Amino acid sequence: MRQVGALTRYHLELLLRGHTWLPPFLAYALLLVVGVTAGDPLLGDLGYGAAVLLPVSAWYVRSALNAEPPASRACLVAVAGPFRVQLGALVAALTTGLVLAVAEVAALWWASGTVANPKVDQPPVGAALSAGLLTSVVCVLLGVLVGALCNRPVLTRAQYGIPVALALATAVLVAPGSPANTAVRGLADAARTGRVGLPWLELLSAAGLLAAVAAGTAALAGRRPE
Amino acid sequence: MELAGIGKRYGRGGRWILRGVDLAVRPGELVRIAGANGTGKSTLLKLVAGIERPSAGRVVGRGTAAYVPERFPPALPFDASSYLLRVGRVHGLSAAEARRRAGEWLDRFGIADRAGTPLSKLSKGTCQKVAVAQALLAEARVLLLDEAWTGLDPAARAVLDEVAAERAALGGAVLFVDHDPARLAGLTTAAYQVGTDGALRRAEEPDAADDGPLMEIEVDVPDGGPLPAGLPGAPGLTALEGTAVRLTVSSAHSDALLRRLLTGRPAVRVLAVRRREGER
Repeated sequence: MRQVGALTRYHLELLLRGHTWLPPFLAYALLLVVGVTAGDPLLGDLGYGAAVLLPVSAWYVRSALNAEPPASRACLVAVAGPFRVQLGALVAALTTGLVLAVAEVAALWWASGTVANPKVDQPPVGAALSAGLLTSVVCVLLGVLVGALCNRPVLTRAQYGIPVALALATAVLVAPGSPANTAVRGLADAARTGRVGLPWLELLSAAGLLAAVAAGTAALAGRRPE
Repeated sequence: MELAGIGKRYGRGGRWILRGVDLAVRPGELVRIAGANGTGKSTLLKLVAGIERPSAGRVVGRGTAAYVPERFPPALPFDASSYLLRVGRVHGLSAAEARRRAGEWLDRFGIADRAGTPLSKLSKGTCQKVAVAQALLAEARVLLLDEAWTGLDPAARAVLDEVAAERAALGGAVLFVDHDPARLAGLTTAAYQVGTDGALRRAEEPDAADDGPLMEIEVDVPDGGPLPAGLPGAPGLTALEGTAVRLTVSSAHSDALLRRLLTGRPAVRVLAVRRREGER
């Protein structure tokens, strides 16, 4: 586990120093600026912010995996094994997504007006922020899952990576029963009715799904190197 | 460490690049893998490193490995010392220890002044030195050098020769591929040849420890420093007057020994090379 931590640091530093964290961040900031009107109800904005975070997290996985040239990855694989190297890249993307989730919730809190629809009883802002943060985390977890499935070692043909990731991210957001769909819809409902619920169940299932997929793709990285 | 019945081909029905390869490498061995271009020498090292997966057979008891690729990408957005620090952490070193060793290796390869330069701004040879340093940071049980000497200047090549011998002397296993057939001559404990059919055969026995007549090489070490360990042919040392030293070695190893003395550290002046009197 310490080795995965070191590999995560390595990949995070790759993202930072190579400036590959910037394009997804700018795209996300742009989508928030376009999609959020200052003074709108907080809960509705949080739902939108969380939903858009899903494909952005998938993008971070792509950046983290592609930031490493094959030769230097080979050096890491010799030291730590393909499983841990793959896991390190995924955890780095997850960390970036989580940082972005916190920033997003803070920014939307600052930009929004009332907590819920002004015509209904207002829920406490703390509950709304917690629900928004949990939903964003659900979307980040599932975004990393989408990214893990749409890149090396699962999808090795680079040209299909982006369209397949976009399609899959959309499917995860709209498919009824998907944790992301349920959590985002929960926020939209809360904005309308003023009754906030925390998506703990969705968070648990998203975390479980990601753990399974991450372990699966990391194991595949050992079987299908390069 | 042992390879048992290793085979490798790309894709089902592809050509077998390696087939039925059995190889046992004990600690302290320095093994050369030879073969024509495209015969799977590099693939063999990658299989040992766990970078590639064998299509048949398995690698047993590898332990930790360190690998030097033949071309290291300057596309990494790190500077030399922070890259080495990060890799050192992956090796399991503490941050302070990783930093110290990174400094040591950069110094040994003579690029300590470029520790803070981004890899993309370094020359190809300097980048290769960083690639070598990355593998030497931690004392991995298995060191794999895939034409690691390519692109290095003569001084750095000599350092890498020394280091490979040191690592073997300290109980590590070293496997290397190099196009120079004289590379590490007299130090390799075994040599293998990868054939075009993918089979690995034992090449000519390089460890002819007492081949030919004994040679005496007398050198002066002006700064009085000790000669490096692991010299080719394990010469016998006799101190002469002043800072001069006489090295006695079989003639099979004398050329390799001379080459090492002249390119390595400490700097020496060769006073005499002669066949030992009273020999054959």
